[in-house]
Amino acid sequence: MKTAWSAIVFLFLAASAHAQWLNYPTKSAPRSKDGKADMSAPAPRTKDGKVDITGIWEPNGLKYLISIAADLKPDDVPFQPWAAELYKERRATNGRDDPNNQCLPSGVPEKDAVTSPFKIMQFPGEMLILYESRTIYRQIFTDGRAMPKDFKPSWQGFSTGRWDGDDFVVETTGLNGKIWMDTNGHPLTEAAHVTERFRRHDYGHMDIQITIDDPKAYTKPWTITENPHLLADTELLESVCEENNKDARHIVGK
Amino acid sequence: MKTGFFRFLAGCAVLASPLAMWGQGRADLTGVWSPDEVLSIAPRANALLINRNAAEVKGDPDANCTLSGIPRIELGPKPFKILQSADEVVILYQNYTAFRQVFTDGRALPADPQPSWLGYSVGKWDGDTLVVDTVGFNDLTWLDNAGTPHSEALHVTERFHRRDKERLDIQITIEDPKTFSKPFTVTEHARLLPAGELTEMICLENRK
Repeated sequence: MKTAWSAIVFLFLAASAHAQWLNYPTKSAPRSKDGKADMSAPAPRTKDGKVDITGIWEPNGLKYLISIAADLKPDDVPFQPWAAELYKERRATNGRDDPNNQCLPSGVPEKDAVTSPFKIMQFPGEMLILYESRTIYRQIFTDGRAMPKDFKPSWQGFSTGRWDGDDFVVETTGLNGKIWMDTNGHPLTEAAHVTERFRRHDYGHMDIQITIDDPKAYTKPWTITENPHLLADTELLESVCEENNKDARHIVGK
Repeated sequence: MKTGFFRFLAGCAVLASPLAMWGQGRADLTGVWSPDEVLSIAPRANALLINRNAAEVKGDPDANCTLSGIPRIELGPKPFKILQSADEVVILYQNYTAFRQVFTDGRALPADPQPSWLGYSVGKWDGDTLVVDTVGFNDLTWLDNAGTPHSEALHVTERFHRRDKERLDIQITIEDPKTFSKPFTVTEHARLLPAGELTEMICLENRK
């Protein structure tokens, strides 16, 4: 498994070498004396005084993509019995049925941990996240709208955002029940309510505190924290899963 | 048509035209837009086709769920949404739930781009018209549903003009000297969906 991941990371880096605008300077970045972006400079703020969470971010390694519960003890994940069985089976079959293997999208909240950059942009009425992986976008509405009555459950669900002090808090429902939260296979049902608190500490660092409230799969809500870092002086690449999906036919799950 | 032709004669002259009033006006293109009809560019393209095999494509590339290219992804019938920031215009396509970044911060197009599905786009304001230049395509996509081919030499220029509150015109100029004897232009018309929003659309889930 580790070897496979190394290969994926290698492929990503190999592709980067040819890409364009990868070294394009970020205009707004605070600079230290050597001209590099100063990652420990204070977090920027928007005109209205809120912390500005925009920028290109990248998870720190594979840890939370492999297991969203990486920081918890195994017994601390409050599985419902059937979910515990399903998780065990997914581990035993080496993640054979992970929708990602078929180039289906990562759902919420796995997206926060996928090890390629994502770009957060702020517009009137919405926060937008552009994911390099799959060249897919996610809209988080901040204009007070409610989920449409005819909303069809989906991989990214329906997300609204609001500010709570310096935290940008995103609530997501309307998920499709097919989501694996990580490659280990922590399940998430259509009853899930996911809360993400984006908290930018300084220019280069952010926490995303994720609370999983899914009474069908878990006996109580549980919370983990991921910690992506900022990438300055670069842009997203285009990444198309189906262009080069050689995984599917090599999956060896038992 | 004539304007488009002369623009292309000078290569990227659209970026340097003395007639342009860059930055004088910035129309607000923001909104969810729905194409009036599924636009086919074949009627214009076929007469100018000099290399039918420019794209060595067997069957419809969209059937593989890779990614449509420009302009096919925006030719309808699915809506798209435009968002604008100070430095870029972002186009969200319902097709593929794919996004496209159009940089308006003055950067140049890449000189030797790695071929890609949606290419590399920069935009400039010509009065209240957003002029988007895109290069760096692979040759794996069709230009429209009819299967009009293109080569990696494709250069697409799109002029986004909001005629009024509810109407958006996109004048699309196709230049690909390896495929067509001369550049040509088609115009797409789209209507604002005032209360509309895009829905998630995953190609693989709809593949027949």
